[in-house]
Amino acid sequence: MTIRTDTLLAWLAALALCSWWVFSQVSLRTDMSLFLPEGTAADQQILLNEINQGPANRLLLLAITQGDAASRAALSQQLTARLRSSPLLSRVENGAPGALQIDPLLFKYRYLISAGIDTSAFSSERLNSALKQRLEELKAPFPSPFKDLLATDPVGSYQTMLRSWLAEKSIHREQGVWQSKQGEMALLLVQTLAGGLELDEQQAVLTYVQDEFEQLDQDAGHQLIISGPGVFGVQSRAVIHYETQTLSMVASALIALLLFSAYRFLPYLLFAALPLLSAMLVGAIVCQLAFGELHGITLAFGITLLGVTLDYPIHLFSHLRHSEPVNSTMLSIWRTLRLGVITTCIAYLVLLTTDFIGLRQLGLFTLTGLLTAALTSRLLLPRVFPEPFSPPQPRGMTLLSVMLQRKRWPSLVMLALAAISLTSLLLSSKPLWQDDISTFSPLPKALLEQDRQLRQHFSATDPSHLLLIQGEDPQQLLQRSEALRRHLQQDPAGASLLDIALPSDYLPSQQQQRARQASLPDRQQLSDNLQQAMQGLPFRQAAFEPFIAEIEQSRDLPPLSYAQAMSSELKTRLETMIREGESSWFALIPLQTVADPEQIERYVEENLTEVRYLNLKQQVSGLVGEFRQQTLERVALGAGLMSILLWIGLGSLKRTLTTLIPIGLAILSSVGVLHLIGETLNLFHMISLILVLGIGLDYSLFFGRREQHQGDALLTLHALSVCALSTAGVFAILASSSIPVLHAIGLTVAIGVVMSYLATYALSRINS
Amino acid sequence: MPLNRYGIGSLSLILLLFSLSLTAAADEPHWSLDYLMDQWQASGERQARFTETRQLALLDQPIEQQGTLLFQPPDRLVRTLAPPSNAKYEIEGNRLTLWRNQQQQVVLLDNIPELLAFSASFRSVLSGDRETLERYFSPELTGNRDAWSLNLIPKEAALGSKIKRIEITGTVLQIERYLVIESNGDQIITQLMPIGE
Repeated sequence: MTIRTDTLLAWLAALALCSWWVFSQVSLRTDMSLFLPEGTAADQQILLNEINQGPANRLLLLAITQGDAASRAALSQQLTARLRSSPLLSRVENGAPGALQIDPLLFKYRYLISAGIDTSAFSSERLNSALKQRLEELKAPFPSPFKDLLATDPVGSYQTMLRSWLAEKSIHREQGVWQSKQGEMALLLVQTLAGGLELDEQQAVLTYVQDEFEQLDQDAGHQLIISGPGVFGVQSRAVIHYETQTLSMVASALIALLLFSAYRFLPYLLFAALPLLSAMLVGAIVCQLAFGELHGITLAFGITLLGVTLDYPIHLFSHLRHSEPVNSTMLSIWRTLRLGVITTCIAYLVLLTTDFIGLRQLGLFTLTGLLTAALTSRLLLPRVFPEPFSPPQPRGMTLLSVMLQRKRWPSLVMLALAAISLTSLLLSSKPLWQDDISTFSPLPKALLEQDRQLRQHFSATDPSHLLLIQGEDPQQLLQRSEALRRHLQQDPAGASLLDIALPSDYLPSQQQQRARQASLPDRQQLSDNLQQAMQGLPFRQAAFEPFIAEIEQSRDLPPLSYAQAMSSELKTRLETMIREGESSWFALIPLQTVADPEQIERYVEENLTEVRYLNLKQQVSGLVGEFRQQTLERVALGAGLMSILLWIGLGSLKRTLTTLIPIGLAILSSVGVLHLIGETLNLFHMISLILVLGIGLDYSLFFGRREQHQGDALLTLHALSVCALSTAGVFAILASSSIPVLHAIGLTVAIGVVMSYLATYALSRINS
Repeated sequence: MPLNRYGIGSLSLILLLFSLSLTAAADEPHWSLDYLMDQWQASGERQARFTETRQLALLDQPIEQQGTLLFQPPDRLVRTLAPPSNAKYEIEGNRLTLWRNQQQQVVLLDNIPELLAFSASFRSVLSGDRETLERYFSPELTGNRDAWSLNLIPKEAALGSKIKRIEITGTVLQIERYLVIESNGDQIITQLMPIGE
């Protein structure tokens, strides 16, 4: 007996060609944005953009532990010096204060941008008290860093400005560098040039930093901890890579073992894989052609959903008889198979109408995959069998005939399960859904906790509570920021609620700068006031001539623009606050210590018309919830369409209902069982339930199919038992994964398949 | 006998030279920066009255301040101004505490590199910590035991941009004057008078 090699070889060659195309042409995207809706509110878009590309995403937190404070400080200094020369990093800070640097541009503009400059700032009284204060500073036993500025800035505007900046960064220092307060680690802050989700680049940065550290720490007495979005991305990828590889190997071995023990015929292993492989490759190619890219998540989910196509060859294998050519057997099961495929496809067709590109991709991928698997199973698969073919006897028939005779038991189990599920779902107070995206993270909890602790050393701001200010250009943005500041100054209740640093605190709008210019005194006025102020003080008569000249200059300066400010020392502060969006400029202001988000939301809504309050966690959850809602709606719509199509295909309402009811029961029981064992459902459980729906439909159709031959019932039971066992086995392996997403999918499908099998079998007319 | 006379003469010369070198050997090798630092290191708590004169370019007349200085090894220095000022500075470890007008203010020296360096110019001298002194300054000792002068040139730019040099002068182990010459020519002269033992 030899296998006909022409079709097989051609098929394999085609698959090889497709694989080559897929591997060389398909561009795989890994960011989450495709799975978030398009065209929703502008603030949501800004938020998403921020999640993907914001500067916070490019920050890495470094901690040097062990050793003593002095050795850590020395290492921190050396590492900083090395890293600053790297082209991979845009910013490296370890808290070591550089010598006081006077930014000439900001110094020139000090009377336009420094807070506290108004009409009264240059009165003789105010000048007098300023001069007395300067004199006091001159008496200090240490050299004043601002002494050189005394003649040009006796009112100390620049000094006040710098002090207000210094106050903001109150990270603890020891031995001249940032260290934790408890004194167990030196802290560094690094910003990468690459975005936090560009994982290859992030990986390169991590390796580079670790290498440099190890070179410097020659006696290996210290340890370097790196944390941040980049690390999470890289680690997640490593975990996912490792787990998917291990799990898919175990799963493949399991399927091979099952198929072999069910038929004892090795070529079946290859035959079973062919339609599945074709489905995946064609799905990927069509998606790439239609969307220009393929999302990693689409691919992962899609392959999961296409797992059902493994059942198509199994149906054929179990139904083969000696008396019948392979093609005729295929033809006889094709009618049932076709109905299942077409109806399932309807569900995925509906996904094509959602707002989420990711879901549309998933729909198209699965749709084309299913069709490909069905068509290749129908047209190509029978042609790879030898001619004539004497099929191997399916194994386990004795057990199955016993099962057929005791059909009452599965029916009872199923009914009991359905009843328990329904009551538990109705009575339970536990929430059914969970939209918190952080629970999807594949990272160990300890790693996330470490990151949280490191973050605490750096700043008290909670990055998940933000105020959003928008403007057509930077100037409008700054004016709105000033209006907010004025409002908060007049409303202490609001100021205590919203403890924030605003961009206009650093750079006033040009309007504001002009107002300050107008309030500066003229030469005569100023020198008169100064003369009066200097009475009784030991300053030389002409000591402050430079000051008088510079005030006069300041009156005629063109106001400092946003672009100019971005070339000054203000850059690092402004760039974390102000950013250019697609159609507008916006500022995202982190809030300090948020006790009651609802109170803030109310306050902002009632008092601040041009400001929006974003609760990041809630917003992202909201997006996920919206996604879930939309998917659910489409699936319900798809299920409706499926039922109608089924009715047409089966030609009888009674048969349609007897096909659908067990599936409904199976889904209900699956959700009930998941809920009972303590799973809170998320997006991934739901997508898995769509797969369960498709599988259940297949089972139901096959169990309900009219017998063509004597003994068909037993063969069908064999086919479906092999299908259910292999699917449940594969997904049970997935359920053992530590990655929450894989665990959710695995558990749901494994339970769902068992339920579907039980329910469809129990309620079917099939009997011995 | 000319030879004998010559011989004796040369002998006495040799003896003279020898005795000179003997005093030199007894004195010079001991009097050095290391010697001073060792002695200072061995000294305990010290207290002195000071008069400080600041000659600044911006001022018509110098600012004068008086008060007391207290040093407690290894690194605590308290500077109290005489009434009516009542300002008090205390520097210990890496903390600078300032009391003025009933207000207390704490500055961490680690945050201000020039201050950290500057504090070494007197604290390291008083405690005889040559290693720390040389981390921030290049010291040069001139003069002799009875009238020496220790010149400190800042090594780091943070302080070097502010201060040209610091000159400490004294007699034996006693520091008598502490002079700071700033880069712009301003001078701070501090005269010290020890109070008891």
